[in-house]
This record gives sequence, structure tokens and C-alpha cells, in this order.
Amino acid sequence: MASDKAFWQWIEERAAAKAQLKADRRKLLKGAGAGALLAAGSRLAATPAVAKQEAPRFDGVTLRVFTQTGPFISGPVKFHAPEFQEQYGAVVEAIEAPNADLFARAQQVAQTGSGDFDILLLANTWMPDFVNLEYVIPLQPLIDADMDDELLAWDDIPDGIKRKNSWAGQTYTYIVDNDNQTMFYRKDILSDPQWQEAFNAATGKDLPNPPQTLTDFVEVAKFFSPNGGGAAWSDAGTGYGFITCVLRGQQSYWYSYPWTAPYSVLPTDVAPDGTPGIYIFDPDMNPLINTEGYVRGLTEFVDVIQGAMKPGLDADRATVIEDIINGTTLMSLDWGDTGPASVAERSVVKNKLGFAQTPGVTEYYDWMNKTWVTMPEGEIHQTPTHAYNGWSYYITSQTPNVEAAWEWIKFAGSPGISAVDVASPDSGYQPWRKSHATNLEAWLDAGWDEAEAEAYISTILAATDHPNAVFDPRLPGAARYQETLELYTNQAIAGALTPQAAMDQCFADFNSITDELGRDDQIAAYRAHLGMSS
Amino acid sequence: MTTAQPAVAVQAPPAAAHRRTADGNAKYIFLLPAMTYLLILGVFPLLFSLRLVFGAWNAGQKNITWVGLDNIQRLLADSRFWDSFWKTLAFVALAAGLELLLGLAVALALQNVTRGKDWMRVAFAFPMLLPPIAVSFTWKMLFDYNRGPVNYFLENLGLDRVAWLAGQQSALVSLVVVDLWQWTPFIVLAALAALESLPIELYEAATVDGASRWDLLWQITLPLVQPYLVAIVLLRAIDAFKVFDTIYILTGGGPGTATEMLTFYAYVAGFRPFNMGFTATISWAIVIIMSIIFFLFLRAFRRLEEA
Amino acid sequence: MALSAGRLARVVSYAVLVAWGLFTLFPLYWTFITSVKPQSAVSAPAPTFIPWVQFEPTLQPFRDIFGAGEGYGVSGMGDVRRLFWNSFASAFFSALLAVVLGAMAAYALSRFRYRRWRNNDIAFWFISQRMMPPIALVVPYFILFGRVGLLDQVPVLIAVYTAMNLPLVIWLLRDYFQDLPIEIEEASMVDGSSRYGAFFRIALPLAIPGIVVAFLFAFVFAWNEFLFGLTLTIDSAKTLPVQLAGNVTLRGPRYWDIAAQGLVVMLPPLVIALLVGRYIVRGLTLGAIK
Repeated sequence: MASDKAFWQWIEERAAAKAQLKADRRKLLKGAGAGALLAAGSRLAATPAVAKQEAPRFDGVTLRVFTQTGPFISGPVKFHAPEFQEQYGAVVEAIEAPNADLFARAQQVAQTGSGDFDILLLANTWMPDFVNLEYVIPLQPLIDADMDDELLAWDDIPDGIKRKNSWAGQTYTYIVDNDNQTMFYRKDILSDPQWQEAFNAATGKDLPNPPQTLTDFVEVAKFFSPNGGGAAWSDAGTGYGFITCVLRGQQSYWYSYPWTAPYSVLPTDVAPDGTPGIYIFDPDMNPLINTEGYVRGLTEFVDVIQGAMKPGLDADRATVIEDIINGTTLMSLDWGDTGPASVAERSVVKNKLGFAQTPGVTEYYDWMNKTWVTMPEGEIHQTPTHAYNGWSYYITSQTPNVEAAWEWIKFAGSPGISAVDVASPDSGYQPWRKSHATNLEAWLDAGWDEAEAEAYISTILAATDHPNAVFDPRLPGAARYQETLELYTNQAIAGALTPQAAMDQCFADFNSITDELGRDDQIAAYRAHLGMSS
Repeated sequence: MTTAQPAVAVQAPPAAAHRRTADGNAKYIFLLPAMTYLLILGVFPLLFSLRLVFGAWNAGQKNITWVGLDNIQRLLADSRFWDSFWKTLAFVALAAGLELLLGLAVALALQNVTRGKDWMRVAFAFPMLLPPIAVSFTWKMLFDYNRGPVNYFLENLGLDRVAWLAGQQSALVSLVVVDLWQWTPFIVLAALAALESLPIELYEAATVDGASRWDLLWQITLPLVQPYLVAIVLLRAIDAFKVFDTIYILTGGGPGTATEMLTFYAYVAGFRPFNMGFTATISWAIVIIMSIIFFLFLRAFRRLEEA
Repeated sequence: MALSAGRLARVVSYAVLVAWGLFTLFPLYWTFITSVKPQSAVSAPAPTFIPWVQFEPTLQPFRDIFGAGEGYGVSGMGDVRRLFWNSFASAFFSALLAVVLGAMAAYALSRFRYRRWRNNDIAFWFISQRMMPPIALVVPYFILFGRVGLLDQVPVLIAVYTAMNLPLVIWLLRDYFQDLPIEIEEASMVDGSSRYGAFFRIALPLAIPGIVVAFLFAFVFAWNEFLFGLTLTIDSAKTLPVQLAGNVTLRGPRYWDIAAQGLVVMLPPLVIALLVGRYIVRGLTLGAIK
């Protein structure tokens, strides 16, 4: 029958388009053929009789998305814009600025009213500042209206992400990139009996695979470096045990989070009101950075840099990733980007990387009672740190196109599109949806083994919902606190000040910033971030 | 008699009077546009920013508020500011001094050769014309600790690698090197001009008197070009004070605050965190500092000229 | 004795020039080869120097800039055409305006005697404006232009760059006009021409070489400018150096892209230097003496 024939024809066309899409996607993830993917994608979307409701049209509307200079973060915006335009009619533009000046620029625009951004794709931690400037609108009403929207897929979003998206009981952001820190290590080396023996011979201990505590981590890192005698592990040149970012202005202080947080953050069951993630400030906005716990973490961080990292002190983020995937460094504690980069063409560590939570500690510092607490035998206190929290979409209050903006956000963050983005090493986005753990098509196309991809994604997601998860504080003036902390952390790393001296000065600066911004307001804002009642 | 004089008195002025009246308006019409332009876009904004020295416009504020002497007190008490001040002085002295020596050396060398002078002059002038941002990126690549050619050459010469961008002192040196690369040509060209303007008869006379080349250099050339050189170095020093682009790209002010020169400090501690009052205060401090140094220099220069 | 000293001096001179030449040109060479190196060669532990011998050159970074990029197929350099236009328009028109205003003022300073303020003092005031650190003007510009909604507009950049270049232009042209013989103008004015006529018909045509040099300098300095571009533009008026600076991103500098983008931004000044460098050098040296 005619309708049958048409039906089967349609099935065939869709299958062909899907196959083409797969092939093109493979090419895309290998770094070429983007145009073909676009064409294939639109072919898929254009096939008729798809059981999806007609997308609302916004012809003539231009959405301006403000974000950092590409190709990372802004790349996916520009890439998906044509598809969005085809389906919804609105043009999406990316307005870029240098990363270091992003907040300044957004603030300038907010306060002077010049520039006309509809959507922001910026740091999650700037939420309170934007709210105080009345520059962003709450997203909850839009979410509530679209609870059943499959593009929104509300249930597919983990609780940790939902918590990161809200402040003061209201949702202001839509995260599309899960920023937390993971341990990357060469599991092939750590499981190699030859090296296990060598380590045992040198230190008398078993080689942990991977290290569970920071102290162990330092020991392992130092051993596998030139000074420790085990540097021959790398067949790509002199091996080093550890790499991190130390360059000023390159977010070096965020790299100290996995070191300082475990020592200074109370376990959730011990913390006041059972609040997780009390970090950097206590609930009354007293800085915790110069407490014994934090300083000990910082000291170990400086120690491992000096003892297990290649000399030069000019490593930036790219180096942290490159030195793992070019096979010269054993371990790092970094945002997730190293994962997708490990399957890039230039990588020599494909399928050799292990992924785990950042190391914990066996004793932590209780800042309430001013005493060190030892964990029970065999237990480790872990605090996965969510440095930066994640690039997030905001809708500005100045935009006349709220509906169109929301449609873009749903579209860009939809399960299908986001799955492709988080698998690509060129997007800068890390997995954040629950379905990212199961929708592995894009990962396989990129060259991952299924088991590896699952391990990687589940590690990232596990950090999100961890009971002790530490989120980056969302405070008014967050940018100023961040800059101050960066300055002093950098001085400690550079050896210009001892960690304690640096943090003492930071303590003073933090307090003056807090006083300048209004201590009571800051306390209320911080408690809102923590989810504590004021 | 009395009638003749007025006749003479009336006759002489017409040409002069004509020129004076014609000039009368032209005098101002020619000059005032440029002057007004600079007053509106240079002097007036500077005076306007005084309001911000005594005021505050911060993140989250809608309007400028009055804070009196707070900004000034904060600045004077800020050790980071004073560090920046001394660092900037050191940088300017080092950069201008080295550029003077190198520039003079190259200019003297250029004067001494006959072949290729013209295209060499043009080739040497390239760095001056390039965007400092692009130049800074180039040097950032060159100074890379592990992959940069500079360390590669040092190693091949048997020396140690230098942490150009990461050491407290070496970062400053890196800034000086970049500044040197870009602006020594300026000194070269100016020195060359000065050298070429020297009358050749002096040299001929001196050589006849039996002076050696060395004598010629020290007794004649250098003393004669000295006033020009001082003026050029002064100009270069003033420009060096304003260094910003290089720091932005090369070190971001780091490591720590090792390369935070005054302008960069104003930007990173004031403008970026949207602390407009504080930025204006630092800027005014810079203007005052530069003016003082400028006038001190001028006074020394004038005294030198008289001597 | 004198002969060998002379030869020694010449040998030393050539040595100095060769060393300086290498020092000057090597960074440019490095930028060029980095822009045609494949990513693996740029990230490799040891630097390589000779194309085809040590690495296989590629034009991909340039393709990236002009839109046919890899990965997400997007350029790291944004809307290149608009960036070029912004840089060009702001540099060209500001140089033009600076030269117009500056030539008139320079002429006035070299021909007229002002009684209330002495000529040298006026000249000095103009030149001292050059001393003004740009940072001092950033905040007031930001506020004043922001208040009237003029942030992120190319005309604003033109206005600001004109002010920035005016002192230099006046400095260069004043000397130039002072060198021009005054007799021809005087003669024409005796013949009944006005001062304006003398200026436009006689002085100006004679001063064209100097004016062109001043124009080119103003153009190049405006093209290279960064701080005002950074603080006074947001997107639609962004200039090339500002976009280039954005490459200091989260993930660390991508040197293959940066080298290519840097070359693109350096291109117009380089071209100007190659084409008319001789005249610029001559003009600068002439002006520098006074």
C-alpha cells in the first residue's frame, strides 16, 4: 500500500541519514568535517513525520550570548546556532571577551546599560553579583512551565547540579558544563608489578593504585620524578609525578582546592546544621584560609610542586592537559578536560588513564573546635571540589526575548545535543546529565572504549552528588575574593611568602573586602549559597 | 613736516597691518582646533576623574558616592602600590638605560658601514611598528621554559635554562627584553639622525690634528649628541612608564606581583574589579609621579646644557 | 695604524649589526614558522626550526581564522571582517583627523608669534600631553562615554585615537614646517593672498612628505593600541589587538592559533613598513633631531 511504502521509505531515509550522521560525527570528533555533520544533522531533523511538536518560531530575533573568547565554551554556541536557527528562526551570536576580563565586562554592561546581551554563559559563582545588580532573571518560573518538556529533561539533571544552579532558594543558572576536579593517573604504570616492586623497595610501602590520601599522593608523585629515582617510567622523556597550573592569571589557585579542601572542610555529618561544603569561609564569613588545616593543604601543594613537578613554574592549564597526554607526567588533579583530550590524535595515553576522586585525608582540622580530628581506621575524608562550579547560562533582565532565550538554553542543554558537546575535546564542557553516562554514542565515535568512557563519566557524576561535595562559594564580590586568593596562593607557590604568611595576609584582605561590601549582607549571601537558614 | 609724517605713518602699516589682521584670525583658527580638541578629550576628562578620586563607584552601585580621602589613604597605605612604584622605576631605568646603550652602539655601527645601510635601517625599524600585543605573544612563545627556543639555545651553549616568566627577577628581565626588542630601534633611528647631523668638518679637522678613532668617538661625537640623546631617552622613559600590553600577555602581573607595573596595577586592582574610585586615584598618582620625574629630568637636563 | 683601526672598526660594526639583525628578525621568523607548524610540533618538547626538514608545514591555523576551522568548525578569531574594519576605520580616520588638526596647529606654531603664551610654551604643552598615561583617561572616558551610551562605537575610538596621536603629529610636523622656507609664502601674501591661501596652496603641498609620515605613524600607533580598545569596546567595535589578547584563555595559549592570528594582526604595519619604511625612517630621523 502507498502509505506503507511511504512509511518504509521514510524509515530507510532516516536510517541512511542516521548512518551519515554517525560517520560525520566521527569525523567531527576527530576534528574535521564539521560542515558535514551540520548537513547530516539537519537532514535528520528535516525528515518528516517526526513525533515532535512544532518548534515555536522566533524569526527576526537575534540572541546575543556573552561568553569567553573561543574556541572553548563559545565553540558549541556558534556550532549549534545554525541548527537552532533552522528550527526556531532566531539567530544566535556569541559575543566574546578575554577570560580574565569577563566579569568586569559583564558588570560594566550591567551597570552602564551599554551592550545588549540576552544570554550570559559565564561562571556560576558570579550569580549573587548579577542578582544584586538585578541583571539576571530567575529561571524557576520557566522551568516550572516546562516540567514535561523532553528537551529540558528535568529529571535527568542530578541533584548536585540543581543545587549548583540555585542560590537563596531560587534557580538563576542552567549549567551546561560540570566543573569539578578529578584525579587522572596512569593506571598502566601504577598497576605494573615492576614499578610496584621498585616503589616498595624505595619506600617500604605498597604502591597505591591510585593514591587515596594526599600524603600518599605526594609520596607517589615524588617517587616517580627525577629526584625520587623512578623517573624512568616514562618512555616519552623524563618522567614527572605531578603537574598542576602555577601561572598567575591562569586560575592557579583553583588547582589548590583539592589540596586545601579535604583538610579544612568538615564532614557533612559534623558540620553545623549538616551543611556540606563549608569552605574558605565559615558561616559567619570568617575566612578559614589561614587555619591550620587549610595552610597544611597549601603547604603540601607547594611541596609537591617543588618536589615532583617539572621545573620552570610556568605551567598553565594547557600544560596540565598536554603533559598528561604526551606521556611525561604520571598524575594530575584537574578539571575533566584531560579525559576527552586523552583520545585525541596526539595523545599517547589512550586507554591508559585511570579516573578517580581526588585524594582525601586521614585527619582533618576542625575549625569549630580548633583541633585536629583523626578519621577512624580505614576511613578517608574525601571532599570532591567543584572549582568554578561550571559554565552556566543566565538570562539577562535587559533582554526583550526571554522566551527565545529560554528555548535556546533548553536546546543547547538538551540530552542529545549536550551529549555530543561533552564528548568532544574541543568544547570544554564536562558531563553533567545522568543520561551522559548511558548515551555513549558520541564517546565511542570519538574513539573511547565503552568501559573507559563509563569510568570517566561516572567519576565526574559521582563527584557531583557526593555528600561532602564542595562547591565554589557564590558570593557578591566573588571575583574580588577569587583574585585576592589567587594572588596569595601564587605568592606561596612562587616562594615569595610562606603559605602561612601568605594566607595571613589573605585573611586581612578578605576581611577588608567583606567589610567594604557589608558584612551582614555577605553573611546572608554566604548562608544562601550553603543552603543554610540565615 | 607734520603733514608728511602722518603720510609716512599711514603708508608703512598697510602691508603689515593687512598681514596682522589676516593673521589675526588665522592665528587662532589654525591653532585652536587642536588645542580645544586636546582640552576636551585630554584635560577635561582628567579633571573629571578628580571627582572619582574623592568618590567611589563600585560593583553594584548605581551612582557615584562621596568618600572623601578614603581612596587616597587606602592608596598610600597600600604596600602593593609602593612595590609597584619601585618596580616601575627599576623597569624604566633598566629599559631606557639599556636601550640607550644598545641603540647608540647600533647607530654607531650603522654609521660606520657603507653597504646595506638603507634596508638595514628599515628592517631594524620593524619592531617599533608592530602591535605590542602580538609582540608579547611572540616573546611568550620564545620564553617558554620547556619548549621555547631561548632556553633551547641557552642549553646548547652549556648554560642553565632560565625560568623567564616564572622567576621573581627573571620575569622583570623578560619584560625588559621585550621592551628592548621593540623600542631600541627608536633610539637607533634618533641617534642615527643626531650622528648624521654632526658637521663633518669637525672630524676632518680633528683627524688632521692626529686624533684616533677612539678619541673622535669620545671627545667629539658623544659630547655633541648628548643633548639629543638625553631628550630621546627622556621620551622613551616616559613611554616605558606606560607599559601595559606586554604585562597583560606575558605574565599577567605575576609571579605573585613581581611584574605589576603601575598601569597594570591600576587596571588589575582597580578597573577589573570595578573599583572606579580607586582606579582614578591610582591613575592620578601615576600622573603626578610622571610629572615630577619629567620635571626633575628637565631641570637636570637644562643644568647640563648650561654647563 | 689608522687603516687597521678603521678596518677593525668596520668589522666590529658589521658584527654588531649582524647580531642585532638576528636578534631583531628571529622572533618574527619564529612567529611565522609556529603559525605553519602542526599542533604536535608546537607542543613537542624540543623546538624545531626548519620547515619540511623538521616538520611538515600546514596552513590550518590560517584556515581556522577565516572560518573553515577544525573541531567545531568555528574560528577562534570571531568575526574577522568586522575586526579588520574596526581596526582599519579607527586607525585611518583618527590618523586623518590628527593630521588635519595637527598640520594646522604645527603650521601656526611655526609661523605665528603668540604674545600671551610663547610659542615654545604652547609647543611644550602639546608635547607634554603625550606624557598623559592612558590609564588616567580610561575611567573618565568609560564613565563619560558610558553615560551617553557611546561605549562600543567605532567613532568613539576614532575620537580617542586622534587625541592620542595629536601630540606626536604636532611634534613631527612643527619641525617639518619650520624647515620649509618662509619666503615663498611671504611673497605670495605680499601679492595679496591670505594666510589661508598661503597655507593651502604653498606650505601644505610642500609639506606632503612630512604629513604622510605623520599620518602613517598615527595610523600604526592607532592600529596597535590596546588599552582603550580593551576598556571602551564590548563587541561591535572590538579591534584586532583586543581580540588577539583574548587568546589568553582558560585552557592556556594555543600557540599555533596565536602565531597565525598574531601574524594577521601584524600584517598591515609590516606592509606599511616594507612599502614606505624608507620614508618613515627618514621622517622620524628628521623630526628627532630637533
